[in-house]
Amino acid sequence: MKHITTVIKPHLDICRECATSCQSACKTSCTVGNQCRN
Amino acid sequence: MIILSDYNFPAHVHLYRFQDLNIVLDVNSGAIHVVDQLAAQFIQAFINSNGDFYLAIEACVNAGRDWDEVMDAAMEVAGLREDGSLFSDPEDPLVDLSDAPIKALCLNVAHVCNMKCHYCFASQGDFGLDKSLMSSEVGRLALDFLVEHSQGVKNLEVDFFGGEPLLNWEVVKDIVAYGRQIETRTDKVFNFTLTTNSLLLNEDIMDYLLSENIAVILSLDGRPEVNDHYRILNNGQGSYATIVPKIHRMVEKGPVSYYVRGTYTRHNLDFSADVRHIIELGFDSLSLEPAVGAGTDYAIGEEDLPQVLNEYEKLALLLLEYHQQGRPVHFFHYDLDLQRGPCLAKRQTGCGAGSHYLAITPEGDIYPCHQFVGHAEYCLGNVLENKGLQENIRQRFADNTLLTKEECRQCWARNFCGGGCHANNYFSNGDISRPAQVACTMHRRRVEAAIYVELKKRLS
Repeated sequence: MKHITTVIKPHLDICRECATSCQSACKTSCTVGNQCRN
Repeated sequence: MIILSDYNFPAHVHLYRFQDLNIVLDVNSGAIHVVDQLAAQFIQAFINSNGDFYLAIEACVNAGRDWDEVMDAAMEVAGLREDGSLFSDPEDPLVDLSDAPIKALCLNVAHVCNMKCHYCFASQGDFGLDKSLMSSEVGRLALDFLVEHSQGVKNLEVDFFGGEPLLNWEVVKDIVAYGRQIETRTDKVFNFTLTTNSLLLNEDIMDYLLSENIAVILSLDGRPEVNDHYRILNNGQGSYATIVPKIHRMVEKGPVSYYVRGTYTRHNLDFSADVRHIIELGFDSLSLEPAVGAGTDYAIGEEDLPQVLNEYEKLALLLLEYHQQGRPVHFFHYDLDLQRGPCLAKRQTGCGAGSHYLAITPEGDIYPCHQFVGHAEYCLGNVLENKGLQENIRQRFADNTLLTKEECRQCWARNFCGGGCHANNYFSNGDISRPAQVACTMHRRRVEAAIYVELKKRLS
């Protein structure tokens, strides 16, 4: 019987092309986790 | 078998139960696992025993668990450790931001507003400065400044902000046209956004925003009585009845991107009802965020946290309810990209205020971000003067990363918040490097809830 299910396994030439947080919506509660364009 | 006696468990692994799921986040790899009760018990015992596999197995068996079952779970954990997706080791690519490209600007095109919202961090539009409008000259110089300092970055972002930017509409259009000119002679791409209270939106303005692919942020706090408590027209009336039809019309037209963006305060701690209200109005892309203003009677305080944290849990269930109805809703803080999120370097440097991201006032003054505008000690320079930036201020922000804040280094949510908001820290604690604990507690709960929502979607 399997006890653990891996649901997410991401991979965290590292560019600044992603959008900055403040251009999205917040302006007050910055977050980076909801943004890679490469 | 594994012995991890020197492993910093609280900083690198987060095991929590949310509704019906036991969830394990491996902080350094970003891997997320759903585990059954036995595996959760084993992982907790492993943490409690300071990383001793034998003691963890013994603890589970002594608690009445079947030996073979415990060994199965233990071997799965060992395999994931080997695989680098559980109890993984930290990798800290040290990022030097001292010569960072500038890639985003907040253009305060109007330090004046046609509303007087009580909770406005911009002092109802003028940031405590003289009421003023940005000239085309300053706007164009700001774009030149951005391009000049953007180094090799191709995607540049400019947000029209204020005050109310539509009070300076002709200049907004001129700046956009200038940006499009720059695009024809460089490899730069401008992504424009506009944050508005919607009062002045009309067909011509909306059509222009569509034709230029300008993303819009449309302010609305939720239920009529909630919105009209703080979002007040200059004649003292509430704004809900005036702005909702305009927001509807804007969204109907299909802008390249939009958010209905609201603020909640300690006077509507049941804010999931406001999220539901906004969704029922027909909007499927929204953000609702706590008011900022340490020490005010509207900002969320420590005593409000139990209700706020519970509300974020209710919000997770609300979003899943809509998802199950085939009506997906994008709630900004719960839209975590868990699979294709940004690289570690980006996560460690957060919003980039002061290094990658700056704000420009109508007079051309440069600040680390929109929330520092009006605080003269943080003024970095002026786009009208052909002088360099105050690099000592810029360096303070560049050095203020996840890796230099001990509290952040110890926090399991660090790779999602990026170290928090410099301004929140400054206005709460008088120091950009001291995390604002109330904001941190809320953020951790949002991350827990957002992960739960994503897992439920994937598992269904």
